Amino acid sequence: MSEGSNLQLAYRGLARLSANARTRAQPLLRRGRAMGAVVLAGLVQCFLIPPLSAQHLGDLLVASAEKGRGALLALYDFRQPVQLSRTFAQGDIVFFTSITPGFDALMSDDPSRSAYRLKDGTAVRVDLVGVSPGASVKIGNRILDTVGASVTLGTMPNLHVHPEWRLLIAEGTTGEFWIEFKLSTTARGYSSSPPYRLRFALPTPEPTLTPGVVMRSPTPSFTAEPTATFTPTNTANSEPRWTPTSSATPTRQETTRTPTATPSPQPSPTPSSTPTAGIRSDFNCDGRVTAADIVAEIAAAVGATATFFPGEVCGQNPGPGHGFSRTIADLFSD
Amino acid sequence: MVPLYKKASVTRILTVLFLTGLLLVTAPLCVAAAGGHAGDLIIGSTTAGGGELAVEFDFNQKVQTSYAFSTPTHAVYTATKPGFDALDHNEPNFFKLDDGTRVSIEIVHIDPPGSAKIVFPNGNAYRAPGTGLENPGDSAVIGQQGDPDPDGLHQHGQMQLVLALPAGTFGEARIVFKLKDSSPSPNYGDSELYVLTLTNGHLAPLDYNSSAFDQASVRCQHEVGRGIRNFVNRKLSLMGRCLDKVAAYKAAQALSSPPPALLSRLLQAAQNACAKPTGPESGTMLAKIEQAQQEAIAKIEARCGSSGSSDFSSEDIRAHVNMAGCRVEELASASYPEAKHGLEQFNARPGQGGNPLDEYFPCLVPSPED
Repeated sequence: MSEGSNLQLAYRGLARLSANARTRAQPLLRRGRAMGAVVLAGLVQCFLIPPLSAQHLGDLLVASAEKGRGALLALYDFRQPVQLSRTFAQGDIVFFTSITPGFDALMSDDPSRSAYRLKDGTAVRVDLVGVSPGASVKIGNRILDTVGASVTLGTMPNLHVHPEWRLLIAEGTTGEFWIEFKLSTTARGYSSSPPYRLRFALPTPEPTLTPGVVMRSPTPSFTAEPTATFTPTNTANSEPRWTPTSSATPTRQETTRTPTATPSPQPSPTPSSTPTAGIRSDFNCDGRVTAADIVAEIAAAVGATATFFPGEVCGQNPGPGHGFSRTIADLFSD
Repeated sequence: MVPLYKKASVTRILTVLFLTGLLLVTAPLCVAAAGGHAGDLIIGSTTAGGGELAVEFDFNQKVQTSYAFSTPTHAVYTATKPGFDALDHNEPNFFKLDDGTRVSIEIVHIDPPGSAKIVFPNGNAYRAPGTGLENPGDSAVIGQQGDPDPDGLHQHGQMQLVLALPAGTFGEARIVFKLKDSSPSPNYGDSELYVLTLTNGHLAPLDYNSSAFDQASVRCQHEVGRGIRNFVNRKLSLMGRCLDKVAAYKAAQALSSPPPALLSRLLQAAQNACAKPTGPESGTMLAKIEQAQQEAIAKIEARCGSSGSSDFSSEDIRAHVNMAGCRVEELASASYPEAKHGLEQFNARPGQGGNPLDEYFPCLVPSPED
């Protein structure tokens, strides 16, 4: 046997050995990869994703337009008005409030929206640049109701604040209610945001606007009057849930107080709070955004999807936003 | 020689062990980071998977409300903190609720009635927007354990302190409440009763400037301290001077056969100290206390109000100074057990149809004998 043949045999032997080793190692490798996925998922959820329980959906996220510098930004859909509720009434004075949206910091860069996490230690202020009569915002103990008023929101990474968006008006007053603010900071490299106008929506529609005319209610009341109606919907436990509708009469109040009739539809739709299959972060397609979705995401990214979620897709045609067709990069673009 | 596949698996296992270790080391940090707001009312249970609902919160801590607005008859103070949140990991004797547990809050008592309410301006799947709790028996679902925002237990309401007093008058109210498991199949018993105290007397933390040393806010804080010290000293010494004379008069009264001249002299001395019947109005104890209070308010407003550091509203400053005055009266009641009864004997404006003097000191605490 020639030296070449021996070498060939040796190569073949090694190749067989290697193939054999790979075959025998495959289950272990899969298990290791799967375990790694779980551990990685935990780390990612812990440090890279903003803590889920501390943040609220729909908050105004404070960021900057460039990494480490640039104009401040408030990420929010400003086309959507803040839905106020009647929280106090006495005589002809009515107080409407909402404590959402809150303010919070964008916790990780989002290049797809040209929004970047502010540097730690950056103090951010809210400056009122415009306000309609009766509207104001209370942050901490400070009421911003005149142009030029300002208050510190917080210092990165602690920018999570629940303001009170307020409207104090005479009963029956109608019109457009809004406040306009900008974010500012004295931190080096950053500049003020553009002005943002946040519109307020009252819980009940009022008669046609006559500017400057205040209408009085003949029957003042001292109690808050929730105006949403209570309609049973089909849920897993068949329990009735609150669903804002345009129904004319409330059918049941969640409080034990006697409900007060408020015979008017909601002026603007409020997004349903029912979990929806198809929301962008719902990786495992259970209709909810939980830690399991993060695990599913990481598992998909490291190829362990089959181990964790065999055949897990959202329906027949999952699309690019669901299941294992997503990647880690998608996670941070949400 | 170690076979290749074994080498590979050893490497994998070591990697996984390393990552697992890293996760274990960092898990507590993660839990801390993922928790709700510091100071929220944390909801859990007394035993794992059962027992009674429970709240972790320092109920000695008063809810600091600040001035919101006034009506012709009431002043309203609000706060959005503390909120509610779920316990996210078990603690000794305090346990995370099972997912799906729906928790409600029920008002048991409000003291004084009508002086406080909890409103949830924002609704969720279980609660209408604007739901208000203001009477005993009122209840509302806070949220459900494990549900995503906004249906979970992390909720912020608006605490309202509603005082039938002029704006800037100190006041407190207590909300007695309990939590209930309002799930379709309840698994937890009602919580014990908790008492949440709302106050308008505590000032909010100062809004210090981050770019440069905030001299204005430092001066504001300095003036708050100095103004309160001066006012408290002045009021306590004026009240003490009056109550010393009242004590002497009462001692004379206690005699089995008090000499009329002594009684008359001591009564005159007490009247002079407490409600000087003659002379200008500014000479009375009440007028001097009022003057000291207004001086304190004016000086603090100059430093902290809109012409100063803008840290506090005028109403919050007045409520704070008013609280200091109230505490002086409580202290006087403790030092002079018969203070209320003693002042009751004097008219605030003798000969002018004034009310009994004790009515001008609403925080005087009656002694058990009164």
